[in-house]
Amino acid sequence: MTVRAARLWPTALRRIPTAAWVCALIAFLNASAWALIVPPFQGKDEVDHFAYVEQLAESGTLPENGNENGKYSPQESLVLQGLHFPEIAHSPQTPAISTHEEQLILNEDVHAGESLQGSGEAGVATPEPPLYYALQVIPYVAARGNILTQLQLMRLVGALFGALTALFTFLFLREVMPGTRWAATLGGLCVALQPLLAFISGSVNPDSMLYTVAAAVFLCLARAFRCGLSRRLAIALGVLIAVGFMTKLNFVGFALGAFAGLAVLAVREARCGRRAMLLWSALAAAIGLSPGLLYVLRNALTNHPLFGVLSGIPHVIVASNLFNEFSYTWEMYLPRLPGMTPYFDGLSTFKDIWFDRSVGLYGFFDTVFPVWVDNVLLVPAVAVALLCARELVVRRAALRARLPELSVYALITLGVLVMIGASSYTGDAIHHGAAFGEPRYLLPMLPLLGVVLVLAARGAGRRWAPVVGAALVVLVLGLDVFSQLQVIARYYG
Amino acid sequence: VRAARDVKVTLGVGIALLLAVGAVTLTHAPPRVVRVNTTSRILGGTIIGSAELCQPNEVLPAGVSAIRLSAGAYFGPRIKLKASVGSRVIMEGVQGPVWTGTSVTVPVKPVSETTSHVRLCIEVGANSELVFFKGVPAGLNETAVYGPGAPLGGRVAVEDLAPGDGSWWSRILTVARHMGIGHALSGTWVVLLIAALVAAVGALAVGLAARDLS
Repeated sequence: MTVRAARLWPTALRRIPTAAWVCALIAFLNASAWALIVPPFQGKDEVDHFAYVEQLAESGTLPENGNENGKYSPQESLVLQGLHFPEIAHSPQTPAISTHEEQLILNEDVHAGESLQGSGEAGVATPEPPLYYALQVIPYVAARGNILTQLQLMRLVGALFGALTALFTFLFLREVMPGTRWAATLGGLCVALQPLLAFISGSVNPDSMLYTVAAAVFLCLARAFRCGLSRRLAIALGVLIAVGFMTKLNFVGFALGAFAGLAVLAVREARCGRRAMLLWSALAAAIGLSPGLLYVLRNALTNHPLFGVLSGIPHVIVASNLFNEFSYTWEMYLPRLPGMTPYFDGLSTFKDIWFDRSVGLYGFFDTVFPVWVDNVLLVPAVAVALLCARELVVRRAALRARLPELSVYALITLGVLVMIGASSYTGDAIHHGAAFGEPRYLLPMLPLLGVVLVLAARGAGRRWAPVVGAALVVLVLGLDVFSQLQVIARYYG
Repeated sequence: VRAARDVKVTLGVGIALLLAVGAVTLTHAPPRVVRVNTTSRILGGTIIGSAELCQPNEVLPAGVSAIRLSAGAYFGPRIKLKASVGSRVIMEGVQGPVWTGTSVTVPVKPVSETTSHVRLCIEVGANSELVFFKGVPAGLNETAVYGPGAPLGGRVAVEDLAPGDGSWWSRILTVARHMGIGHALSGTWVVLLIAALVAAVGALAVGLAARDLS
């Protein structure tokens, strides 16, 4: 880092308002509480993510030996056994271990000193890129010798990502709604209190880092649309896109919209006669694509499939399947249209999967609220949607002026939705596995949820906006606390 | 000034409501298992698409508020339970779709007296995914039957749940002790740490909202 850059950082940090730091602190404390509540390895796919970190730390290699039915290390397996993991996961009727004797056995298992070498794969985490796991090697090594402590420290790293997500969401809202003084606070607070974000951030899961990167990309795009794409901003955007690619495969869907954003910015600069600025868009795109290109090059040199796990997709997406794939993706979110093959019989996917599961889906898919709670919460959700729509109609002239920017956000959203649908089609309809109906995949768009909530508050009119904003904060806080109680009842009741 | 007052009132009323709802929720008793028809999970039957599965000779204890079936699915279909004696339906209950896991709990209206020789029918709603049923193998007279009389080869495991003896309030210490087991940080004190974190989150959020939203 140059001396000038070293001076710039503290200045930039000082410019961040106290409210943003408070939102970040709230998100961190909230995720930390979740990290203490959820029993070890009961975070979604946490066993596999931990195995990936273990593989990296112990062998210095990626888990890519192609053995899909491989086993965890003897030490991890022993601790899982001590925790009764196989009996508890997916089984809401089975609580976590509860007796002094079980604790003693677990203590023995933790200190058994078994081998930390697994069979060289990490379950569902195997095809994921390594950056998040590489970062998690730090707490893993720091707490070597006790798997439970390692896991707890790794969860706190996730909580830090949760804090950054709230911070970037705050700054994004300040950027896109500079005229509304309280917008950033309201959106930042609601995101910081969002229970699904806190649950994921409070467990070992690369999604936590993906949300942070996504929020930072939104912030940079918003800034670029407001102030123009400077060289520094272009580098930041490029690096963030690159980091996203190295964090989780799902980022591919998000990145399509981000690249579209760079293209729109480039066209805008060109129209304004600032053709030199085109270079910065190209620079950002080049930096963003660089990890992908390096990955392809490395695969070519080591005789691995060129695009890793994505190499199999063209075999699945053949022309004859395109309509089915479109139908599947459509039905995953919207009611089936005439002529479409039914893929989700008996389900209203928008309500049953996306809304109800957004209200609460914790643990290994096994902790949810009773359906009546989901139905009650439909009332405020519909009210938010109506108020938001009202505000959009009232401000349509302002929206028109920002159409390119909004189109980019819409494209990002579409990219994420299509990515989920396409992956789910491959796993569910082709390979008869489980569909990807988990709202956590939508959380990279959390900053946009913040925008929706702020618009809803503004939609209530100048007199009632602060009241609606305060009510929304209490509502999300309540959902968070009752979600924690629901998880406590499921594991410890 | 009015906006500041409105925000503070909204936050105050909201928090008071949350506390009240929480306090009332904790007066409920957690469910306990009052009867199981089998502890075995050897049988593994699967169903795809809507179907009805009926098994004879169940016992329905008085006061049962929910019935837990050993059924597994990812996007579980709507499940309707119907208990009958002869042609008389004595109990019904419905669980909506998209439950996930190795069991599904269907809330039912409690009956006032224990009834034997109950025929329990499980109506599986429309779905596009396999639903797994687990239980114990049984002979032709005892087996569950689905569709137009096809025997499943066994009985689905059923657990009858009723409200427990004490409320959540009375179980707080037990739950707290339980939470102190099986973690990196063990001991009941962890619950105080969690409570402090949640209180800090609430206080910071309300404080910031009161300051900035008005």
